[in-house]
Amino acid sequence: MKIEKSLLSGSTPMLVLALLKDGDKYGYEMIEELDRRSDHTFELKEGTLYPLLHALEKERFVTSYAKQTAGGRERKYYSLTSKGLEQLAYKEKEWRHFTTAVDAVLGFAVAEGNMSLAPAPATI
Amino acid sequence: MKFGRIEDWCRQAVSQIKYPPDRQMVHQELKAHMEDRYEAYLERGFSEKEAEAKALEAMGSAQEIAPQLAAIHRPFWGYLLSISRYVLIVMACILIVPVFQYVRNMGIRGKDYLYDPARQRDPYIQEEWNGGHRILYLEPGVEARSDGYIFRITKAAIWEWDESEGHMFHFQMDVIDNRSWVEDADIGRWFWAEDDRGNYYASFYESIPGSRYVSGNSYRTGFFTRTYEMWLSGYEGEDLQWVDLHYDRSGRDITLRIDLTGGEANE
Repeated sequence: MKIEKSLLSGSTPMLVLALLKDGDKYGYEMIEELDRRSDHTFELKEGTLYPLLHALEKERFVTSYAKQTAGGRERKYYSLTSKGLEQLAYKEKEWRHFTTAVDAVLGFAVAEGNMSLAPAPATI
Repeated sequence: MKFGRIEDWCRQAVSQIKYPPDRQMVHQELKAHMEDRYEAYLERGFSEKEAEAKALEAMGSAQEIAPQLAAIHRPFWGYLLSISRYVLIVMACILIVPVFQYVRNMGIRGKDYLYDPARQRDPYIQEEWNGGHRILYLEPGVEARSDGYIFRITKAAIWEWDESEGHMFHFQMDVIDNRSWVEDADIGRWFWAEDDRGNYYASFYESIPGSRYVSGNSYRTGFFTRTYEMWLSGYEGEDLQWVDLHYDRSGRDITLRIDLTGGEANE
């Protein structure tokens, strides 16, 4: 099932931060990981990831560094900062609040662990 | 050309970033991503052309992200830094000319003494001057510090004119000031003097007509040096043991004593 674009747009920064929580990644790797974790639910245009990443970097939620791969290609890795971690915690809380409220309006029983889309990211 | 369309896409996406180092960095990052994607499609069995088309399709519109990237990459300090290098070079070029000329003319400490730049001669080392003759010459070398200045009496001389029976008490003082750009060129006007016979020579600022007073002219003689050619107006040829010069502008009185007993007499 594909999801409408506007549903996703507000939460992509949170998803990007969550992807970086269990290790530094470069852009392509993040897209792959997002695809895998979400079971191809998000059809994000890959180009839009970069303005997002650069904006997060400007706000110091992530930092970046260049690393040469075995194939000789240079990749730009992104790493979550402590400020980014705080931001993620805040966003997660906000998200839970939001979904709980939406579920309540829709008349679903709110149960712990019913996040069918994405498994909770592993904690460090 | 391999990656021709991918290259075009990247170029378009970064085209609105104005700061060149950022533009290059983002270009490289986007290209690496698309190459990864392209190779993934090749591995899945697509042809090169198909893989390229699919990689482009996955990225989305370059026109759409170009203004977004440009809005983020506006490094104020980066611009300032890249401009400042050129500003510094230009400033150095402009400054070097007068500095070079000044050093060539004056030296770092200044020439020993430029009595009169127009005439280029020094009355202190001559025995005859304007019809008068020198009856005493000495180099006191006394030094004192105050208000950030160093005052040094380098030379002193007494002349006598036989016809008019006139006398002149002359001395030369170097004022060294390490902050020469804020120097007070009239610092000599604060000096007053007294001699062992009880005569009082007022400073330029407190002098009244007909009285004895300290007077003089000054010339910049180096980066940190201004030389004062000074005399005691009203000196009448008394036989003196010493003359004390005082500077008390900021309340603390400092004294420079010119001891006349040790001088080299010409008579």
